[in-house]
Amino acid sequence: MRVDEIAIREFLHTAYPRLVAAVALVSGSRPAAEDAVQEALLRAWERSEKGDEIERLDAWVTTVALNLARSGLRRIVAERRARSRLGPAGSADPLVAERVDVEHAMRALPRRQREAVVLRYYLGMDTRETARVLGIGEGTVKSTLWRARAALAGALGIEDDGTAEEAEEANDRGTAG
Amino acid sequence: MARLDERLKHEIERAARPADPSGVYERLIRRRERRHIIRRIEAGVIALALFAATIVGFYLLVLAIPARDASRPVAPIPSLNGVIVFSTLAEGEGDVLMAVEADGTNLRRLTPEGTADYRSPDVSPDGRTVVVAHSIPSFNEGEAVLATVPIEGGSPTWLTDNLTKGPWQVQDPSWSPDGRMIAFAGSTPSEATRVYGIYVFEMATGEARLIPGTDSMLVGNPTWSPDGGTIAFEGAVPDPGDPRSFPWDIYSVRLDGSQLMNLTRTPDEGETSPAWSWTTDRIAFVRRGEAPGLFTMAADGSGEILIFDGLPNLASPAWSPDGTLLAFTADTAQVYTIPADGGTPSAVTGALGEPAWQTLPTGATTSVPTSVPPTPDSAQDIGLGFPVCDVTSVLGEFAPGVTGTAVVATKTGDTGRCPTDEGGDQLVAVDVTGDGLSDASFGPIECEPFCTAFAAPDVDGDGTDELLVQNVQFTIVGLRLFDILGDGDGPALVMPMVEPPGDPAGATQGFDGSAPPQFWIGGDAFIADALRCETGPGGRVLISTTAESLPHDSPDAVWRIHETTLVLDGGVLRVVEVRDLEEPAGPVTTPSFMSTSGCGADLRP
Repeated sequence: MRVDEIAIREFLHTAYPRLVAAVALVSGSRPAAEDAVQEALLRAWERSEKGDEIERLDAWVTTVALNLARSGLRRIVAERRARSRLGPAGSADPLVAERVDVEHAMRALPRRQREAVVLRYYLGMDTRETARVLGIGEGTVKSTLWRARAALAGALGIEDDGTAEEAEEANDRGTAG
Repeated sequence: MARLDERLKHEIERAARPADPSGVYERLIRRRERRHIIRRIEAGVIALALFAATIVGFYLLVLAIPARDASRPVAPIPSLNGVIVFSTLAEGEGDVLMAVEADGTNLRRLTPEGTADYRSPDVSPDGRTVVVAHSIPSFNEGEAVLATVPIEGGSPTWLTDNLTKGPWQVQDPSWSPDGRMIAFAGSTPSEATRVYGIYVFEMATGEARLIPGTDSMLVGNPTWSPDGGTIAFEGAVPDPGDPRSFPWDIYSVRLDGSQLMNLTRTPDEGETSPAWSWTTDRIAFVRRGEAPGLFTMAADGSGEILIFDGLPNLASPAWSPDGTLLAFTADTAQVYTIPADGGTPSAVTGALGEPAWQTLPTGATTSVPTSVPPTPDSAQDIGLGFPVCDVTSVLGEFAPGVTGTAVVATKTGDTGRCPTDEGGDQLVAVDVTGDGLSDASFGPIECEPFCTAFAAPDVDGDGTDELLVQNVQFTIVGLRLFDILGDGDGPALVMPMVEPPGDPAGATQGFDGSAPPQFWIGGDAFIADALRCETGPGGRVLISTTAESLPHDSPDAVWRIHETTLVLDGGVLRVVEVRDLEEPAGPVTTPSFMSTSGCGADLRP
């Protein structure tokens, strides 16, 4: 596809809000997530202008943004830039406590598990798509998700009521169908 | 679908916070524009080469055989020449600085491991310091800071102006003959008032000023005349009749912008990379086009001599300090040396990348440093029971009357190799007795991307020194404070915490006692942070300042400053004063809270 102003604007109003949230869940830093997604989007735009083919903009930007967000250096400078804009954290939001629980549980997961969980449960990708974005095999995605589910269920006090295989198959059927 | 998956989806959905896309498109556009400023210069060189190759080939052939000027014989002064420093791309890293003897021996690395870039080196006239355009991954493309690296190797020191005002666009830094100024091609950090040209950075004031007139063209590679009054540079004024054409020439200009002259005047050829010899007063340069070559000419552009044209991709000439030799790159950036009046070039083994030639320091008998700094692979025993590597140190009086050493090092891996920055445990150790062995240690410490020993100031005024360790290096430098406490069991190294409630407004820096305090020095865009050690009415205090210039990019901006004053007492930091204040933020004025250096660590080279 051609990445031009129209495609960029469409991406910003459709995929961008949730992708930033997803990368923030993985990286633990909202400013770093915004920085990474914007940088990835800009790189896609420039590559397309040079004639490179980008098959699916959302998948491409997701992969690159997750890679960029792995840099601790980017995180620090992005947070410094955002520090004055964000101001002190408020506590009036009733969802804050629950959000902190989930973020805490996510942060305890290894990086790869966090990425797989967010791509699957938040961005709604199936196993194949998740494997493609993360650059790993589908079997690895399934085993990674299995471990992540168990860890999150324990951390959040949710009863695990199904096998990993059942859940994977159901997920893939649901996404495909 | 299993209920667990539904619950996880639900919980993650509640935890996630989608972003607001408004204004993002405009931010992307600004980010693109910043990149284009640097890229257009490179594009100009390519456009010129294509233009010249197709239209004026015959004319170039005629010009490629100039008459030799034998009226200025070169007098050899062989004792001046030191090592060749060059910038080269390291696999899996950025552009790193290396040094090598001109005969290809003693190849060594000068800069730490990591993905930072160190480009366009130039060695100071006293031969002790290398200035580079230094950038790190978080910078936007083209952004860099002026930084110096010791000739014997070590961590970069960012020049003060960059620290306070954020990264500039910096290319091709060049020392003045007296070592008091650095010229560079680039632009100021402010997007709103960005002006690209040749700037002169004053070491004494930390301020940079534009050479008038150089902002009216594309410019690069400034080089100083022997008397320091004139700068030659490559410049191109786009041809209005063909916007794709950038006729690069070598220009010279006085520091005040007067006497701007085109020295080469070749509208159909491109001359770049001038290098002015302070010994012979001749300017070396590279010509591109149909008949490329390495040339020299007199300071007024006359007496052009072809030195060499036998290899492709000639670039980056650098004079030997005695004026008898030229280093340059060719092929795939291989460094060669050649007699300055022509001859057969010799490849410098292992040298790949833009070269600069060191003048031997006064009194030196060899260009090899007497104390070779530790390399990441050299394991050392400092009395900890295991070998360490990647060692940096600072001297201090950690016990009364005894000069000791504080060390920051990485624990060597089981294989005997030094782990990478991300993989290794870094620690702090201190030798208070001066016997070379550590008496106390602390670790592992968190480093981003690496830690170094920074300074040993007397923070609490008790006559012995404490230790500041740099644990973050970015557009800002992060510092951790360590105190050396002594008792009957011997010295102990502690990281003092702030006594609660401290300064809740400084919670992100641990000033509320919730985490070890993190001090900052430096700036990022419109934020400037500082750390001062001062003597107040009640004794020695540590003053940490964070400030933001608001509104951004406005002539009416003011620094909004938050200042936390702490006292170190018995291994505990107590907040004794918190202030919020303002002061005008002029475009080039260093804010008052940045006017002193970081607690004993002089940030200037």
